[in-house]
Amino acid sequence: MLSISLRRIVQAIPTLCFIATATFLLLRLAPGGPFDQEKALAPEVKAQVEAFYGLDQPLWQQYLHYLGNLLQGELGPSYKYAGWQVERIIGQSFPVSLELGCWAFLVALAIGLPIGIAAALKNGRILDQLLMPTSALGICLPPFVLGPVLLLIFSSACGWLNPLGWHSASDRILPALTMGTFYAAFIARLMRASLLEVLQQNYITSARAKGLNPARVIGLHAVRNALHPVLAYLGPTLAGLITGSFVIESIFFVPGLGQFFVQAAFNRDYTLVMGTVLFYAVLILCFNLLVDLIQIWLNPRSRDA
Amino acid sequence: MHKPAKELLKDHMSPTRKKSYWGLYCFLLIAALCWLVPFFSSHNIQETNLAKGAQAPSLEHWFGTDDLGRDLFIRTLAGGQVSIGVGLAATLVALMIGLPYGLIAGYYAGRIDSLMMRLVDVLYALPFTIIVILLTTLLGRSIALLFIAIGAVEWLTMARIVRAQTSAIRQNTYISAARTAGLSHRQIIRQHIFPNCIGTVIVYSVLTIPAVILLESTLSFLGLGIQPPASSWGALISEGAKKLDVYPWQILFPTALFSLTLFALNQLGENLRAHYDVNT
Repeated sequence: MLSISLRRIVQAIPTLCFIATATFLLLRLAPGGPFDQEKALAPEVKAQVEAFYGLDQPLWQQYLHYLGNLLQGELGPSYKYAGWQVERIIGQSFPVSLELGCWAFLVALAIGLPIGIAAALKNGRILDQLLMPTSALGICLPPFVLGPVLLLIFSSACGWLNPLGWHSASDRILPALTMGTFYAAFIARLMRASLLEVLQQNYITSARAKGLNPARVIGLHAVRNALHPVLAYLGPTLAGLITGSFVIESIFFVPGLGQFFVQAAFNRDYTLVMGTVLFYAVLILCFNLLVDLIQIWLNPRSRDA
Repeated sequence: MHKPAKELLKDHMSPTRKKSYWGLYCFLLIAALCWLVPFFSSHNIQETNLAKGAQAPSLEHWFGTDDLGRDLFIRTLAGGQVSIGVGLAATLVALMIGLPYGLIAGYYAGRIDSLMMRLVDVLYALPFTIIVILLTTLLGRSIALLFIAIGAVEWLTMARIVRAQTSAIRQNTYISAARTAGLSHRQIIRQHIFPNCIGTVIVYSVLTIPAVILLESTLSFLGLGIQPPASSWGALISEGAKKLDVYPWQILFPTALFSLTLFALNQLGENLRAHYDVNT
């Protein structure tokens, strides 16, 4: 496990270099700069501001300078939020995205797994035929459709929940529900397919033949083994939930990192965009590694694959 | 695994096994409506009439009108042209890159394979949505760029799936037989490998279309995709979402058509998957 982790970390270095370079070039090639505003700055003021941030130097020098800072763990100052380091912006907004992502993840599991298991156990019967199309419906109601609808029902019509903000505990309910439902549908289908396959295996038959309690067979033998492919999907899901919350954050006005990122890209806030992209990339790489390690731990045979 | 005949028969007749194309018919119907109806309608997508702003559905305006008095029925259908068009085009881009890439990597195996797949792995580790958002924000927002950006992301999975399929197929003895018989690599790929992974490719392509439509709509919802006066389902839903409690029909109809399309395509994909017995 240690050697796998080490190998993956070494492999991640060229990936991160590639991402840093590509994002850097892309940002600089794009039209517009961080200090082009609708109300144009006086040329001498603009020149001074750009000189202050080192934007007047040749591109390769800026690039080396950025990489040098990066190696020392510095993401640089934001160009739009004057006086703020990118680390500080990420440090303040990411926990919000993380919390939202985790709640959504719990919602997705709490809805998806039981539905998938129930549908598999009642394969082909009425419950299955009811549950599966319903869960397919979940895939067709992406967050930007479900979000407004939930808002309409629970805050406009019933007035139970706040429509916007991230203050009280109840503010977590709607965003998490909106985000989680979409993924719950995938988890349910995956769980159903996987469990159906496991239930066909000989060891399930023999466990039943031994006279084990049926609930025990399902819970201990079948579900546990059926979880593997689901787990492979959960890694990207959790990463997606935590990094992909732009839409949710903009619907419910949640002050998370996604909002900052989209805004920074619009503003050409070079350092903030680069910092966020690199941060997300590291996060995803870590998640992938973590999921692989868990899978190896659950099923040592998959190490060879 | 031995099963009584009756049980096997039941398995075979379970809903997932049934070969059914209603998803395809449903999708074709929606696509036909989107492309044909605007030709025959008396309204067009640009025609504004402020006096008729934000009207509820009526006989004249089936889906109501938006704030500028534009007919929402036509706008929804025209938006469908864009959404479906981007979905198909980006899937085609993904297919054109991913299919040959996966075939070559899987067939030649060895060093070429590991090199090619290493590249895919590197790209896979990129935060996708973020890259697409970055691309569309930075490089302007033309439709062409949109589907190139989406296609550039979606080909990766296609390449992986085709490669896995190909490297399984090339283990078969009929491939060595073909080789002994003097067929060139090119002929083998074309005549033996490709036909054998076509099922997987079809299933995955069909499932990619709704994924792309979803991605496009998400981008348009964020204001990064299709720009006015053109429209897509995502853009319409985004407009409707802002006035949800006042003019609910503005979100209702685009959403209904959008969700129905996704539902139909997903069901078609699942049915084809069961039909071709693909596990990916």
